[in-house]
Amino acid sequence: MSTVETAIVAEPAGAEEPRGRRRRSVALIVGTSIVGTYILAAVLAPWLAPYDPLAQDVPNALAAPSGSHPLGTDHLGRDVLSRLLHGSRVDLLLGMAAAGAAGVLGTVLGLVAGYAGRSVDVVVTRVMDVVQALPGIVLLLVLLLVLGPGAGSIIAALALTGWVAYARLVRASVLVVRDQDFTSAARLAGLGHPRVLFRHVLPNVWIQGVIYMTSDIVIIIGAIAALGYLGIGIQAPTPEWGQMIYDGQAFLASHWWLSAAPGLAIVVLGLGLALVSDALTDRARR
Amino acid sequence: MVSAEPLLEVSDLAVTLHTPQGPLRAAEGVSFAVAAAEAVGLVGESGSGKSVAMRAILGLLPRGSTVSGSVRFAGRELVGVAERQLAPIRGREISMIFQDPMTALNPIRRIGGQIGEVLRIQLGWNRRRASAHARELLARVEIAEPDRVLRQFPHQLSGGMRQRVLIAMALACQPRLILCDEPTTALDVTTQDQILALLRRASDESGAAMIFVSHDLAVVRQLCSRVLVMYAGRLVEMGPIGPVFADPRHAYTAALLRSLPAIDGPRQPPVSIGGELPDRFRPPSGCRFRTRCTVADDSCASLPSTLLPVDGERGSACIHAATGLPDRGAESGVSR
Amino acid sequence: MSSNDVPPIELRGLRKEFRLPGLRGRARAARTQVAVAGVDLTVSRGEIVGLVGESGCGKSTLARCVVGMYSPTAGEVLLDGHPVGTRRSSADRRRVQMVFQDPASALNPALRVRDMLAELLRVHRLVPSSDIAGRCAELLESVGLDAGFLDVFPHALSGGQRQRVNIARALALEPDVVVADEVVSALDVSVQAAVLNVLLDLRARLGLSILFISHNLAVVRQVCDRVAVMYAGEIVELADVDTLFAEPRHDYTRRLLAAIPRISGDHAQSVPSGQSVPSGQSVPSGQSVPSG
Repeated sequence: MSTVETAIVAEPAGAEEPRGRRRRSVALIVGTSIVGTYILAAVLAPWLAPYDPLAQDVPNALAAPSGSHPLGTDHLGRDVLSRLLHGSRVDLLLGMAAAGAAGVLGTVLGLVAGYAGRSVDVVVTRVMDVVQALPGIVLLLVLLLVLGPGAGSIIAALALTGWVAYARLVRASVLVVRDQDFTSAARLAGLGHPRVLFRHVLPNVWIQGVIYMTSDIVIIIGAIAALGYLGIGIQAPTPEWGQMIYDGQAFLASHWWLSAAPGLAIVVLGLGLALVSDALTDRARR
Repeated sequence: MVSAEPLLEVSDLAVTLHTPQGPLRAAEGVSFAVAAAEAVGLVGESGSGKSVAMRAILGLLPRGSTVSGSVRFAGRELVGVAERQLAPIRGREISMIFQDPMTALNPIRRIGGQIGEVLRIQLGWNRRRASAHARELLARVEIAEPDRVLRQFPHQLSGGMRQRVLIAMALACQPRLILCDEPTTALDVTTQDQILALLRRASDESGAAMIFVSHDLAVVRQLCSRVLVMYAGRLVEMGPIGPVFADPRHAYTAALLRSLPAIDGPRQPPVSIGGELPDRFRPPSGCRFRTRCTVADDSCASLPSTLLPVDGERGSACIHAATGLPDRGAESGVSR
Repeated sequence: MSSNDVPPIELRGLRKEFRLPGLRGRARAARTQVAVAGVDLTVSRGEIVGLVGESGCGKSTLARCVVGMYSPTAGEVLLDGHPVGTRRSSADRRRVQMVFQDPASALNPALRVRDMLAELLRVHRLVPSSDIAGRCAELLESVGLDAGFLDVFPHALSGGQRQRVNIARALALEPDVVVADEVVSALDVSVQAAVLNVLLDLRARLGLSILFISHNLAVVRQVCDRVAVMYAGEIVELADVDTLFAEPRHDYTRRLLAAIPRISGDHAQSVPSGQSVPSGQSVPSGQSVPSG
């Protein structure tokens, strides 16, 4: 060779960021700061909360928001702000753990189904069809009855019903990546199946699962609230947003903030996660 | 060969595309004319702006693109006019043949229905007259069993047959200008040969002018009498095709011709043009080929982007056009 | 290492059939497609053999059988005179590498060039781990790219640069044979030559044997020593490159050569011939081939 090419790797447009990209990075910053605030609140709840979330003060029940109780008190006289802050620990932890477990389970099964031969794919796909055909809430109830109440059971039950969406997404992406020449090249280079799967296929598909997870966390928090409503969720008196909304319903006409505060907490978290999800989707597309 | 009253006159056409990385000036300073019944080739490599420039003629650009300059077709301005005014020209007076016949045809409709629709909408014909004419059109593009093909779906046809159907649709309304965007690139060489022969006959018979966009200089050589060469968004050379290919007057055209592998004559090792295409967002000043050019000097950095006349009907943007480029076939200075 | 007269790769009666899916019972036997219908071919050490033909002629299927992506229905692939089994060992795989057509999909978008190359060196223990970085740079240099490209992700590379990284990846495994499947057909003319010169250079320096698959006869003429013309799953003509282009003997080869558009000559000569060639689907013997 008489010429050797030199790498000149410069990102186009340095000082002047294109408008589209700037808008996207704003979304990412706002989204992550919202989610970050929630996580901080959860971590620092014991120090941030002005009262013990379980301490009842019945004479002072159903107090309107004031200087001493910024969000008022509930029907047992417990401080709503303190319960909201402590509730974020329960809901965020459960939501992330359940979404994470479903995501890992679904990603692994989706990877295997998409990559392995047809017989494995048929088995996994049929199982997915069966799980999806059953009404989700019924399946969840049965699992919880079998596993018994408790946070661990709730996470397990949600993971066992929620993995299918991840598996479908990941399997579809694997089918695309599997046919790309770089996968064939890796096999031809004598690399083993596990190595090809985890080092060459997985890095190109996992983002799909993470994007779905951002919206799944909110759905799962909703499901936990529904379980609380049915009496098989997180047991009282542990502060939990869904339970708080339910408890507040009885006083909606006179004390609307009892339900509105935890409701708003869920909505804003959902918004933050949606912004993160959009930014990730854009990134994945590039 | 530019007559006093050209059919199409493009002047100072510039196209800016909206991309995720920001605005991209895909073509600029493009000026040329096409006479009635003339076949003009528009050649260039990827990123040369050839397809963008041609699509701008019909306003067929992705959303968010901006076009400036002027395109006059038969005395009417096409740039900056409303969609509604373009509609009667598109397909009827100017038609287009695309590279990929599979995506240019609707996969869920029969061929007969698709050709008939063009006739019914553009010419206002009734169903019976349209379907009779559709059969005639397929026969004109040398499809052996037109009745069977009319009932078939695009996926049941081979690539060559699909391209024949597209040509039939392009001829349907007897256009005065046919725009072809790499219509044979996806085809095998023997099929390409047949389609080129068909296109040549069709344009001779119909008297339509043609702009044929291709990266393949040899294909353009077969069909066109005049050629326009684009590089990195700009027109660099134009003229009658024989003289341009035999005696190029732009360093890029010369280098491109040298790099073409020959099928006849003595065998020669591959000759490449050194370097890569310039960054499309930050092209070099002056002549855009100067970063890869072996005859470039300081004066090339401050070159106006217009073609300079050479030998009357030819034009070149190369300031070294007159003083001598390395001969075609010579290996001087071209890096391997 | 084997002696020089044993070819590094030889195909004997290679045949590949595909069964079309979706049909049951009696119809099933009739719906078998023969993609490669008994091919004998040898590539000697340091030789570049061209394999040309139109889409659907079976050349890509043949390439996949050679590298072991498909196992042949009948016939054998011999490496250095030894037949390889249906399940290739990792060492046998390493000796025959492929460079793919599409530079966009042939590189893993999630890996830097350095990681791509280093993984192969590490897994096959080709160099001591302290030498891996140096070897990676050396590999890039042998395809005309400097070490600065090591830390780059594929999306920042041009088509020609990607194709060179592809070649470097194949070289990392120190193969005896490289199957180059339409390696320049997705590239612009002005960068094709640079990639072809890399292949020629490697053949000269390393004595690499190359099976060069292409539909572009002009490119084949530039780089190959011998050329095999494939039609409907069979090799219809095999000759050294000068003979094939000067005196084509098979009717199909003649038609193929006549159909290539020429750049030179006067206008009348360059008019397309428009001759028709029977398509792969209508071969008298009932053979037909899947596309691609």
